[in-house]
Amino acid sequence: MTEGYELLIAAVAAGGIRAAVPLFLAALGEVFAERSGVINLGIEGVMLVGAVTGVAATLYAGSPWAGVVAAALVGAGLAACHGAAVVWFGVNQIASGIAIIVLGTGLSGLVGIDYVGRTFEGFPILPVPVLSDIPFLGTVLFRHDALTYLTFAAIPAGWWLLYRTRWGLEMRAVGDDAEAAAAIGLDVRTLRTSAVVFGGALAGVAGAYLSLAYSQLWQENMVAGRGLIALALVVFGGWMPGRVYLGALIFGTISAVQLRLQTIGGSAISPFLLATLPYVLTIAVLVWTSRLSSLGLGGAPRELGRAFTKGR
Amino acid sequence: MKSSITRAEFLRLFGATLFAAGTSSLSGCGSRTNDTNRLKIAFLTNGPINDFGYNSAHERARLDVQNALDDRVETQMVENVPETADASRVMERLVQAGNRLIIPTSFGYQDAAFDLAGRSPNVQFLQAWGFKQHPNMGSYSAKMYEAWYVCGVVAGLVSQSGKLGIVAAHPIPPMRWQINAFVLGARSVNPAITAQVIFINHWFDATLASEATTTLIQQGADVVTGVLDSSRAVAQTAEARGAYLIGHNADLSQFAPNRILTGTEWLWGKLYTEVVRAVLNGTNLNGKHYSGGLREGYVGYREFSSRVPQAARAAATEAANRIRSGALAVYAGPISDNAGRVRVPAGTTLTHDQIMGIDWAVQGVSGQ
Repeated sequence: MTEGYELLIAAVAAGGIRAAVPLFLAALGEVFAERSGVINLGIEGVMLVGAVTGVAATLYAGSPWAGVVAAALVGAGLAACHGAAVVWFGVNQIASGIAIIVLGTGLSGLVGIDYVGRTFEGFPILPVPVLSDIPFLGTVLFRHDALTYLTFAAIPAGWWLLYRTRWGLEMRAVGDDAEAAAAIGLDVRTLRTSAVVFGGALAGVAGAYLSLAYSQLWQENMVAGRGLIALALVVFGGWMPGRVYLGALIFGTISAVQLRLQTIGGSAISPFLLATLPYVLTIAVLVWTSRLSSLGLGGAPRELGRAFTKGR
Repeated sequence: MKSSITRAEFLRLFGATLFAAGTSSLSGCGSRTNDTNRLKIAFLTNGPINDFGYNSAHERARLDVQNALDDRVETQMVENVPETADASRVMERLVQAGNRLIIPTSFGYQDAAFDLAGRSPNVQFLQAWGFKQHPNMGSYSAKMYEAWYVCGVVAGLVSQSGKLGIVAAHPIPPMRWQINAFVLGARSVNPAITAQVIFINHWFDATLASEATTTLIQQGADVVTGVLDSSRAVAQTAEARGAYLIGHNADLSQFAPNRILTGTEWLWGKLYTEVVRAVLNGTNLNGKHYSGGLREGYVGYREFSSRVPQAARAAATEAANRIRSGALAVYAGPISDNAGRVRVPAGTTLTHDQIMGIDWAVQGVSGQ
C-alpha cells in the first residue's frame, strides 16, 4: 500500500465531500419546495436536464460558469412546469413529479445526443493557497472545485433564506397552514410556485455539478438515482438545511468508502454487501427520523402534498 | 379544477410518453427503401448507440453489414430497449413491420426472443451471448478474453509501478473472464504484476467510474482500464491524472490522447456479415452458436499508440499471433485463483463455455 491510512481517510473524506455536493444542492432545493407544501418528485429529471444544459452552455459559451447559470435557468423552467401543474391546476403532486422524471430523462437523452463524447473544460480543482497545505484538513476541505466551495457557503445561506428572510417566513407559513396564511393576506400560490422554481434552479445546478465538475462529461442517465436519494435526504434532514447537509455528507462518504474499502478490505467484504450500505443506511435513517418526528422534532410541513383551493 | 389525476389519465399520460420515446428510437436509425426483396434485419441495444462503448460497437457493426450487403439487406437499429416486457413488445412490433432477422445484442433479451421465436416460425433470431436453442433461433458470442490478454501484455510491460487498476461494473462472470484475461496477459510478461479491481456496481455511472479511477491511481496504479459499458470517464480521469489507459469497447483515444496505449475492440461486423450471408442463402440458424476471437477477426486490439515501447509491441503482437495460430490459449492451466486454489490444472484448458461461467478472480487480483 503506497497510501498510508491517514491519507486514505483523507481521500475518503474528500471523496465524500465531492459526492455530497450534488445530493445536497438537490435536497436543499427540495427543502424549499416542501417547506412551502409542494413535493417535487421530479428532481431526478430536473438534474438530468441541468446536467445536459450545463454541458451545452459550456460548449457554447466556453465557460463552465455559463453552464451553471443556464442549468439553473432551465432547471427552474422545468420545475415551473411542475409548479404550474400542481399549484395552479391542482394536478396530483406525485403524478406530476413522476411525469417530470420521465420528461426530464427523455428530454435530456434527446438533447444530449449531440453532446455525447464532446470534451470541454469543466471546473478545475482549485487548491486554496496556504490552507490546502495543512496536513489532512487541507486535503479534505481545501482541494476542491469552485462549486464545492460554493456549496459550503450554501449551507448557511440556505438557513438564512429559510429562517431569516420575509420570503422564507411566508413560505414556511404557507407550508404549515395555507388557510391561515391566505387569511392574513399571503399569496399562497405565488409563494409556492416561487419555492418550487427556486428548488428547480438548485436541482439544475446539482445536475450541472455532475457533468461539469465531477465527471466532466455528458452521459445519458448520468444522474443515476441521485435525485431519488436527495428526496430521502430531505426527510432525513427533517427539512432543515444543516441536517440535510449532514445526511448528504454521510451518503457521499459511504459511496466513497464503498469504492475504497474494496481496495483495502481485500477479499474480506463482498462488493455486493458494500453496495447495499446506502440502502441499509436509508432504512436506519427513516426509523430514526420517525422517532424524532414522534417527539415533535423536525416533522414534515403540515400542508405537504395537499393542493390549495380557495375556500376549501 | 380537479384535485387529482385519475388512474386512467395517469396511465394514458405515462403510456403516451413511453410510446413517444419508443417510436422516436424506432424511427431514429437507418431504415432504407421499402424494397421487399431485401432481407429486413433489426438490431436491439439496451443502451444508447452513441455511448462510446458496447452499444456503439454494435451500431458500427450494423453499418458494416449494410455496407457489405447493401443491395440485399435493409437494417435498422432500435436503441435503449429495456430488458423487460418492453423488449417483447418492441420485438413483436419489429416482426410485424416485416423484419425477418432480429438480433438482440444483450443477454437480457434472451427469454423474450426465445418466446417470440416459438411464435414466429418465419423469423430468425440471433441472440447475443445466448444458449437457448430453437429451430429459428441461433446465438453468438466473441472471445473478447483473447483481446484482453494481448492488451494485458502491453500493460504488463508498460507499468512501472507493477500495479494495474481496473474499474468494473459488477462482480459477475462476464466481468470476471475479461478482468482475469487482462491480468493473465500482464502476468505472462511480468509475474510480479498485481491488479486492483473496484466494482462500482453500476453499468454506466460516469461519476462513480471517475471516482474509482482516481482512487486506483492514488493507490499507485499506473495503467488503468474500465470493464464497463462505457469507459469514457475512466479515460478522461486517466488523462487528467497521468495514468496510462487501456481502452475497451470503443475508440477512446480522443478522451485520453496522451495516455492511451491500446484497447480492446469488438468486431461484430464481420460476424454479422457472415451470419447474414448464411441466412440470405437459406440457412436456418437452428440453435447454432457463432463464436470466434482474434483468428476469426471477431475481436481485435487497437493500434498501439506512440507511448507503447517497441519491446511491448513485439511481445503483444507475438502473443496475438500465437493465439491466432492456436499455440497459445488464454485459459490454459495451471491457473490459480487469488485465494491460491488451483482452478485450471496444468495440462487442461477451459472451453469457451467454461470461460463464460468463471466466477473467481485470478491470482494477482487483489480485492474480490
